[in-house]
Amino acid sequence: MARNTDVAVIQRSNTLPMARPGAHDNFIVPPADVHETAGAVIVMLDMPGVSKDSINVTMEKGTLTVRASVEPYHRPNATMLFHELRNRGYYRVFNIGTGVDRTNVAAQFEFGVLTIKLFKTDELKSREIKIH
Amino acid sequence: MIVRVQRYPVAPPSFASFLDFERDADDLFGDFLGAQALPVRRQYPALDVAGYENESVVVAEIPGVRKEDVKISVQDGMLTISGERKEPAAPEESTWLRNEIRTGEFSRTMELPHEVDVNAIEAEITNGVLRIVLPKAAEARSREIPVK
Repeated sequence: MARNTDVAVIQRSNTLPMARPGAHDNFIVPPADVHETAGAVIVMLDMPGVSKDSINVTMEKGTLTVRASVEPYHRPNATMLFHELRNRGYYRVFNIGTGVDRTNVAAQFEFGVLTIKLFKTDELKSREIKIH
Repeated sequence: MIVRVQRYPVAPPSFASFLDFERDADDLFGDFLGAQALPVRRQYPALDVAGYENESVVVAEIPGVRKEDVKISVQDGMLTISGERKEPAAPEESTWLRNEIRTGEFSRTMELPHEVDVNAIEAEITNGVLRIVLPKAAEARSREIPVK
């Protein structure tokens, strides 16, 4: 699969926002749950440590980008006795296929989990076909 | 013999390809981002312990865990954080396209960094981050010794 689409992927990555974090930025790709219902696709992302205001969700040319920064957990005068948490932000990109209403995206942030709801357009919603 | 390979399966429109780009991007960028891009954690929850003059602060990331589902206990110089991340209620008749978020019970125990005033320990959860303040006991605080 990867081999067949490499070219397409490279072309697409050129269109990604310039603010893509570099490897030195200590960003984390947040783990995600995605499920599809009859009328929507729901994406849930674990993003502890961010405040609602620092989350940036953009939908552009069929690409859903989630970006957020994390405020430092400690005061500047801290002496670190144990240190496992090194993330300073989150970044993840999803390719959204056709059939999603790109102008209508709902997002909610609760308990450190970001939930994004993408609504399907009518043409993709499954419906029963009546036989005449 | 000619074997015809069907590269593009004939299927109704679906969101199965929803995440293809992301997976391919991971293939491309995964190598040079190295382990940094992969949240590999041996123990859950991941912790920080920061020391200050009169206290230490334990910080743990526990997204999706509610206040009432966390238990913090101190015994014999050990601090234990335990709890449960409950499965979020999936919408009716939904299909899973990806499941990376782990749910279930967790527990982690660490040694207290110093003598702690147990009655003054405070804890709070904000945006999925648990913060436990461990005030130093009087005997653990630094003090100046006057020279006679």
